Amino acid sequence: MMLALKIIPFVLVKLKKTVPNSLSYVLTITFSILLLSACSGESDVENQATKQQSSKGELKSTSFDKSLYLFTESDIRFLQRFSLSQLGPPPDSISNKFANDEQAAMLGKKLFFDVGLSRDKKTSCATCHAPELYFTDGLKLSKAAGVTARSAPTVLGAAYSPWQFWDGRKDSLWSQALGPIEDANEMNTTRVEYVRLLLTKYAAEYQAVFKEKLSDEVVREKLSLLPASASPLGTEEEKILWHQISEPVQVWVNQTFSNAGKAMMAYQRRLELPRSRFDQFVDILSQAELSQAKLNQAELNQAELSQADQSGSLTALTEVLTPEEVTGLRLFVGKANCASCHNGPLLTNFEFHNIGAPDRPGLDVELGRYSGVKALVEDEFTCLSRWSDAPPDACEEMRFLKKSGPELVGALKTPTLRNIAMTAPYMQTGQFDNLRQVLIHYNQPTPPVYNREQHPSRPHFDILPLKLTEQEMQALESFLKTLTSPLPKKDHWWGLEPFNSES
Amino acid sequence: MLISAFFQGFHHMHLIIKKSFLLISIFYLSFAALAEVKSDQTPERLIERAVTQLSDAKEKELQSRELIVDANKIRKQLKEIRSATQKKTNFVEVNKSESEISTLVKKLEGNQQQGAVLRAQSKQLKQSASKNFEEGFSLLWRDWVSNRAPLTMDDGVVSYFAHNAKIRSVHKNMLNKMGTPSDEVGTKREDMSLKIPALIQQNAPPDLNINSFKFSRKEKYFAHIEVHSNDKGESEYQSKNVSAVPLNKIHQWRLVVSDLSGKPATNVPFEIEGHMPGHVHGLPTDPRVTKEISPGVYLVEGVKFQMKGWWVIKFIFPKTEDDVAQPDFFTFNLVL
Repeated sequence: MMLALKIIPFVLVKLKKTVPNSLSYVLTITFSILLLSACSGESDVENQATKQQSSKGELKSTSFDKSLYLFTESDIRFLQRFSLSQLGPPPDSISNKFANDEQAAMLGKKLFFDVGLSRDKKTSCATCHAPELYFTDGLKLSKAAGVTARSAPTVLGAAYSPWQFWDGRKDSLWSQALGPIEDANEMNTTRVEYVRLLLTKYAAEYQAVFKEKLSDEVVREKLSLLPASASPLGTEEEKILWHQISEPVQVWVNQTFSNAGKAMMAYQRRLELPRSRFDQFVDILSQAELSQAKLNQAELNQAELSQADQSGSLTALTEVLTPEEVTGLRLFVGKANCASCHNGPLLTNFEFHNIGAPDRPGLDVELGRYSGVKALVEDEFTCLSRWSDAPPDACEEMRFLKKSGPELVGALKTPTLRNIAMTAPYMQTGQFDNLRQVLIHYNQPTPPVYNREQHPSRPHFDILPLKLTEQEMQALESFLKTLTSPLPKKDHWWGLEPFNSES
Repeated sequence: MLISAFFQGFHHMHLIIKKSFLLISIFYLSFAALAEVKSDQTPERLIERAVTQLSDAKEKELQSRELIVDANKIRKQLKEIRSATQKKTNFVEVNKSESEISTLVKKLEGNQQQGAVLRAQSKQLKQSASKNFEEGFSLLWRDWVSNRAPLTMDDGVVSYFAHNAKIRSVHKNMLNKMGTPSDEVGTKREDMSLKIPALIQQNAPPDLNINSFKFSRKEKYFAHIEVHSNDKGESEYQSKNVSAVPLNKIHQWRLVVSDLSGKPATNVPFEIEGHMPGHVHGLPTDPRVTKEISPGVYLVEGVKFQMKGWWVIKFIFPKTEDDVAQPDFFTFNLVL
């Protein structure tokens, strides 16, 4: 990958801010050319001549356009918005006061990986959100107690999203974490069973975090009041059993159950993304820009500039991303229009759109956000619920939830593109096996089929054909592969170390 | 008050400095003239004038419309005469028709001209009415009107877009007839080498009225919107810029509504609608009027904008018996 470019002085330069933008860009190029000429010892060489000269043997590869690596100050500022450097900590959680509690996160990690909390003792969150697969499972539909209705999305970056699940049917990560526990196809247990195990296996940790100040005896006594299994969301029998539990005990169970979710949320908030090659690329651009700013202050001292480390920038940049990948990056924010929704450091706007990924035959049509909103309204663990730590007035996203509109039908949350090359298959039911298939869909999309029996109205459709060439698709695919973070083996939150999943 | 204070002062001075009576008289007269101008600027007078201008504007608009209708009739008449003339061979008759035609053409031109003038006058009168009403309204509601500038989004906000695709619903028959997003790709920004797709159809027309003060559609009410700060007296969302709405954060607005006499319009259960004209999508939340914090002053909660661009927000009155087709409403254009 090393390109022997070290001799060619490269100027990634912008002039003073006082120079008008367009002029600055023109001057930048002109100045670069002048500098190239100066250093090669020929006073009046043209750019083309320089290219010819470099092809004499100083430069091994002339097959790419060096201007690919030339970014203006505005370009760099724009690209910085996609870099992990801009991410910052997850937004404050008003509904979970333990969100930033480290002890809660430690407990949450144990719960996340513990298969012993599921009914068949084989399933944990990590079954479908496996750290070595960037917290996905590599399957079209997930398999645990049964088969899930949608593909398991990664949990990386989820702490930044206002809505959880593909259809946004949960308004917080703690509430989200409670769903799979009671889902018949996933952990297939009930809150009563879960709470009993939690307070037996993790009594000390739980008390340390949530400070319930109940003696072991009282806890044991309360647990003894509970049936073996019961939940308002369970089977008919489990529902009946749940309604037979006295209200104060129900409240205590729900509170404990919610706390488990809050611990798991605290855990997931700790999951950090190591820098990908793309982030490194933007870092180098930013540093080059920074050193340039210093040079500007030094009144563009020619002597200083001539041997400046600008030549290093191009070398460093080419070491991080290949010309094809940079072409892909330019397409990503440009013609291919990906950045339209996949923007910000997590490469998602967390909004809901319908891109018309084909419905899998035999499955119900995708109602997306339309059904997500319906579920939210009925959910018992939202920000507005008594299990939330927020005063109801503060839950503005829920209070002013948009409940209708044609744009909700079939719309799904934009997924992050971080580690996308490692998280196949793609789309909500794994309709596409690889990135190429995804790009083919975007290039020549088919609108969703209007099913008059199942759709409340004609499904919205938010994309248009891109008409990319074969080469462009290849470049785009290459770029997507630069978004992979190296697996952080030493970050204990990721749980990549040998981990005893039984506790 | 000022005048009576002056009177007191005047009498006081009059008693003491008799010699300067003449001088004071002159001073008094000039002050009286000034007071006359001042009283002309009272909210009541301003609103009164605005209402007069508004009804004048309506009158002129009506006249203009009549002239245009009349002009259309003349045009039809002309067409008939012209086609009839073509069939005529008798010189006298043709001549007669032609003079008839030239009279009608003159009348038509006159109508058109007069109609255009009246329409322009009406438009201007409406603008003045709006300006005067805004002046008076702002004086009457000075406790609630703290920002008269159009709403903007803070420029410090880091965001190129939430999405800038041609987000629209595409019928499958139209799929390949609507162009591609890349049709509009271009280096519009000369300081960038990245070819970021242009923000399609988000550019508001240059003469768009983005005032935060508006008459209702049926010109029966007047309203103003501004960002409402929290109870501590300052908005946590706002920076120094009081006219700025935050990006992607739920915040509150005040909607201040009066009738045409400047009296608060109370107890109106407004409905709120909003959308982006360049996109087929509405607001990301469902904002509501939650409280009337003072007569005619409504608290609007749950307002959120997830992207920059041209937004339209409507406050709709409940339908009354007088409303034949649609109820009255306020439309505010925002270019954020």
